[in-house]
Amino acid sequence: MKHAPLVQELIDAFTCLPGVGPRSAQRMAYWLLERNREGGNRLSEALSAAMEGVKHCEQCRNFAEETLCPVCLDTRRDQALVCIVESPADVLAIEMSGEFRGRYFVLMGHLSPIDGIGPRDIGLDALEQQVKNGSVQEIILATSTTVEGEATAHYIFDMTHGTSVSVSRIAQGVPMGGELEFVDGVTLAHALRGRQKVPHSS
Amino acid sequence: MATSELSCAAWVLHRRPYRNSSLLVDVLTESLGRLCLVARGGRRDPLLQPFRPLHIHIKGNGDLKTLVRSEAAAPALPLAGEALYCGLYINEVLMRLLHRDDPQDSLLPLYVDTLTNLTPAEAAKDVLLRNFEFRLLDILGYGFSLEHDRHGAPINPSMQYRLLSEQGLEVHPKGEFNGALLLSLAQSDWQPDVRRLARDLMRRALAPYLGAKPLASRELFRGVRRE
Repeated sequence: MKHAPLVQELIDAFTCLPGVGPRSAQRMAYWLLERNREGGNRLSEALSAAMEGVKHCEQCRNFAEETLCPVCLDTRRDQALVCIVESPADVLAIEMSGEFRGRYFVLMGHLSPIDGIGPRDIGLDALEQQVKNGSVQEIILATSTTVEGEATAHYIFDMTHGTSVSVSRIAQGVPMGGELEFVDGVTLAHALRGRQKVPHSS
Repeated sequence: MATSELSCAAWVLHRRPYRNSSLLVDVLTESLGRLCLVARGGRRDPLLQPFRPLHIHIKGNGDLKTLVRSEAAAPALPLAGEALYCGLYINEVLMRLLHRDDPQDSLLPLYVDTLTNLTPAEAAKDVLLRNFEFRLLDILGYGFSLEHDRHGAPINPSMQYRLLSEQGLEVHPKGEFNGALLLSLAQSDWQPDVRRLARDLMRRALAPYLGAKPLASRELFRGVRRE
């Protein structure tokens, strides 16, 4: 069966979403057209507003509507303490922990030479600039523990060589509620190497 | 449906996301060469990382095989810093040079030896990379002699040479490679001049097979040298 041109275009447009094939795209399009025109209108307005208005923060590269994002504008946060993460989702995860009062630098990816992603593609030239002009005092590397994440962390560590910036890497170990038997060997090895003394309570 | 399941030792060369939580993984194996596998739910599997010896079970007949399960055969190689860049470089070169399902017997031992030798901090990494590149070209049938030119005449220490791809060295007044240094390289006498020559020579030798896009891992080393 052939769809009306406008319907077909809507279906095609939905397939740009991750995990959405022609079949689910068709279901979504029909659902909006048949039962939820109002929702559909809201979606289209929100989409075009976001696509127009959302930019990257000039300082941390996270999504922002102004030149700086709310975190970079917040004067109560320590702007010289920078946590480096791979994606906006990572920022959210760290914010949820409630432990961190500095700002972020979002790479929007990681070094992956095989895919042609080099230092410049993840904004490391901008980070280097920030390190050089002295606005950064401490860096926390929170890239993933994959080979690419490690390479990225090392590259950034190299970059700070010869500056007074102190660099740390987030710890790796046994997850909360995790039973040792089911933790993989590499994580366990890391956890053992990074073990901490239990203080005597006085 | 008769799909045979088989198992072998493998090393991950490259992984890229596929659908929600799956991966397309390129692995290097001894008997089957480079393979491309679908790993369902592979993004949650911490084992499917480069530089870690694996034992994999696969099934399927076509170009794209399915990874049934994977086990760690040994702990991951502790490549860190510059050694990690070297490892990424080796993987990138292999991804460009190897065709799928084209096994080369001596390639896996060469790969494993080179990575293992890269792990100590004091390893002469450029020498290991040059040896790897030279033997890789040899294994793939693109090798050339360092002691004889393309006509079979011995290399003359007082002459300059240039490299013709798939043919070998040739005397050329404006050639960039010095005969004496080429002979030192053939003797594995790794003095600074020879190391530089080896790097340029291998770059020239690999260029025709790497394709037009520059190798991104070379950019990482540029960062190291900047210090």
